Amino acid sequence: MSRTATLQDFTRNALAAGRTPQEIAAALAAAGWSAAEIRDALDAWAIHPGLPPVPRRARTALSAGLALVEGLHLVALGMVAGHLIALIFTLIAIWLPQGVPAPYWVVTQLRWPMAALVVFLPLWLWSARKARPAPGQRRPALSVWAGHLAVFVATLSLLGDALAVIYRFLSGDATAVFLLKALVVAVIAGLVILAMEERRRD
Amino acid sequence: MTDRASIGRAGLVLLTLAALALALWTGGGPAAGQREARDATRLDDLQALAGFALCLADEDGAVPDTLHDHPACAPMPRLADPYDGTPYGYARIPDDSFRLCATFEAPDMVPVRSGPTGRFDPASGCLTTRRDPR
Repeated sequence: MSRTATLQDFTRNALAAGRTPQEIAAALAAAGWSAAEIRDALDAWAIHPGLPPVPRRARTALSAGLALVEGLHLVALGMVAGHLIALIFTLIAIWLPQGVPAPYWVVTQLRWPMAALVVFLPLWLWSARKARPAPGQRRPALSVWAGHLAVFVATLSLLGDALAVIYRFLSGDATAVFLLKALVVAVIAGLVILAMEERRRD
Repeated sequence: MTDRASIGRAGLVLLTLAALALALWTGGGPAAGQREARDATRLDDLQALAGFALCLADEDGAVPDTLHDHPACAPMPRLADPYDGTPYGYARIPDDSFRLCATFEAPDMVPVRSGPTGRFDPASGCLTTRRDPR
C-alpha cells in the first residue's frame, strides 16, 4: 500500500470512528504529514451523520479541451497584464510629461495595447468561466499549477518593481512619475495574484 | 477565497476599461488614424516634390521659379492634395532654397523631419529645402 493510500485509509478509519477533522489533522501533523497532504486527505471525504465517510469525487479529470482553455487563460492573462501596463505607461508619458512634452508618435503607441486588451480581456474572462469546476468538484492539478505559475510571475514582477524603486531612490532619481509607474506595476501584479487565488487554494 | 479572486478579476477589468476609455479619449478613434495617414501621404508628396525640384535645379543650374516637366526628372510627382485637390504650394526663396507647403489636418501629429529633402515645420505645414552648392 502506498503512503498516500495509507493516509487515505487512516483518515477514513478515523472519521468512521467519530474523530473530528481537527483531531485527525493534529495527529497527522504530529506524524510529519504536510498541511497540503492533510487538507487533501480530509477533503477526500464528506461527513454525513449516520453514514460512514462518503468519498468525494476526485479532481476533475484533465481533458485536452480543458488544457486548451487553461493555456488560453494563462496567455490571455499575460497579454492583459502586460498590455495594460504598457497602455498606462503611455498615458502617463502623455499626460504627465517629464520636462519636455511627449513626442508626437507617443499617441500612436496607444493603439496596439488597446487592440490587445479588446481581444484578450474577454478571452481571459471567458476562459476563467470555462475552466471553473462544476459545483462539488475540484480543479485538476494543471489548473492549480497554472494558478501558481501566474502568481510566480506576478511575484517576480513585484520583486523587480521593489528593486527598481530602491535603486532609483538610491540614485536620487525616484521622480513622482517613476513612482507612479512602479505603483501601476504593483497594483496590476497584486490584482493578478488576487485573481488567481481560488486556483491556488483549490 | 472566491471573494478575493472576484476582487482581483473585477479590479483588473475596471482598470482595463478605465485605461481604454482614457486612451480612446486621448488618442482618438479610427478617424484620428485616418487623418494621420492622409497627413503622412501629404508629407510624402512634399518630399517627392522636393526631390523633383532639386533635380530641376541640377538640370537648370538654379532653383526653378515653377515646377515644370523635364525629361531628366520624370516622372513629375503629384502637384495637388489627393484628398481635396488643393494644389501644393511651391515658392522659390532666397539663398538658393525653396519651400513646399500643404494643408495638414493634424499638424501636431506630423513629425518634424530633417533630411536630404529639407526640414519640415509642422506649425507652417511647409518643407524648406536648400540646394547644396555644387
